[in-house]
Amino acid sequence: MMPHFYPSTPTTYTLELTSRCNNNCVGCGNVFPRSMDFLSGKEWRELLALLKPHIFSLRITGGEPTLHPDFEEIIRYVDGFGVPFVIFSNGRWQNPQALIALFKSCTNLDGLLISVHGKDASSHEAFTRTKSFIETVENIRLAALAGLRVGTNTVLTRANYKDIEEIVALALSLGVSSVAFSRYYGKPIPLTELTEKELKATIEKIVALKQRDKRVIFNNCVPPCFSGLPTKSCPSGVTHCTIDPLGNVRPCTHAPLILGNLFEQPIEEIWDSEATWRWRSMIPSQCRECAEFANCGGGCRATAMQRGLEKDPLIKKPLQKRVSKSIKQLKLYQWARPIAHFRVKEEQFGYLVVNRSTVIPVSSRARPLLDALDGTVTLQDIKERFGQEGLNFVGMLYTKGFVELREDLG
Amino acid sequence: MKKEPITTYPALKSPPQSETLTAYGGLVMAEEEEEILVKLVPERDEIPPPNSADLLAEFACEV
Repeated sequence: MMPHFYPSTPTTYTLELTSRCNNNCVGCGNVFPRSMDFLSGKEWRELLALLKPHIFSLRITGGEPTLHPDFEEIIRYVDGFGVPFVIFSNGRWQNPQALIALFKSCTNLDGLLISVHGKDASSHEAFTRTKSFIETVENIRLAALAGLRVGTNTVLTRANYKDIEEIVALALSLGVSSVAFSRYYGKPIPLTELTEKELKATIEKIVALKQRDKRVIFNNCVPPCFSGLPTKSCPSGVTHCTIDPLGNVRPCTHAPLILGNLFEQPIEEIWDSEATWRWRSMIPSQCRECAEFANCGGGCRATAMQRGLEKDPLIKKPLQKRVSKSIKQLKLYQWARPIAHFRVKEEQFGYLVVNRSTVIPVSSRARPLLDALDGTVTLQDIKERFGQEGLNFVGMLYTKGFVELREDLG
Repeated sequence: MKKEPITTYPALKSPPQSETLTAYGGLVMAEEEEEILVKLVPERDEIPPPNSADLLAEFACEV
């Protein structure tokens, strides 16, 4: 990611459609009360119309977003934008068949991310505090069976951290395409959240599982001085924002900080406001000395805020050396022709190359090379015109799914 | 929702530029987690599928 290059507007927007939810999670990620009012379908459409030129990808969440009374109207409107979107849900749907039919009819829906918090009802419901496991699991199965792309996400807790393998096995048996785990962010919940020792051991276990099966994913928002692993800087306040049920802009879902309201200010103004710059400047001074600072950016600001701390509690001593960075040798067919699967956004510093929520900041020098990725230029040509450096850049884009290599044309 | 002012940090008004990182010789203005070195081959050698960093799970922290 790009800790030092701040774009003029976000590219990814998370919409908290409604404050309503039918779970009662002990570690709920929302920073607003359940009773909070929320925008109607018409108001969401008005808000999204204002943002449309700036949106490169969308994430629909809540509360439980499917409980918004105008959910179908909003989803059809979002789908009409022509940008990829993902729906985050707890999988507890009032009319599963109708919802799955709605999702199947969408052109731009990338998939569903559904929360599973344990291997069985006991551990899952220890988190959700409602009778929910069977319904959630059954709806994941139905959605996957219908051909929808479904991933699961599990917040690591004391009720589930010993069952990582079983949770992976359960999720894969339901037909999901990915099984993600994440650390808990938010106010302290001593009986639920892991100790640092438990969290570290669990991360190591998940990383080992990921070596065997790439569908297993650990969410990377953990400082490398804690985990000893490479990380990516948090995009919140940089390329990502959350819009709450009333149109307030926040850096991320977990951050209890309002940067502005979209009915009062344009996003460009909010993204250059003092509140937003203050968020970005929440960098613990010790982190600036760390060899991993450029990649980490100083841990989770939202957790620090929620706990009234100066910094993410997982931040340890600054690292003197970088954690090992892998170098991948990639053999590619010299007559293959790369075709772009990205959009380009012009910025003062150069460009953002955007594919869904993944964003790569590039300098102005990269523009001729980006323009050459139109399916007519071979990799051999690219090497001759842009050198090994340009070729490696295209290889990086390829591994990230930003370009497709075609071999079937002239 | 209550606004919680952050008072312990000074507000920046411009990006810190001290650590401009230039992977890929200055084309990319940020460090990548993995460095890719491409070798071209004249035959259709092993051409791996894109490393599909899963799009759904990428923002699991936002759930």
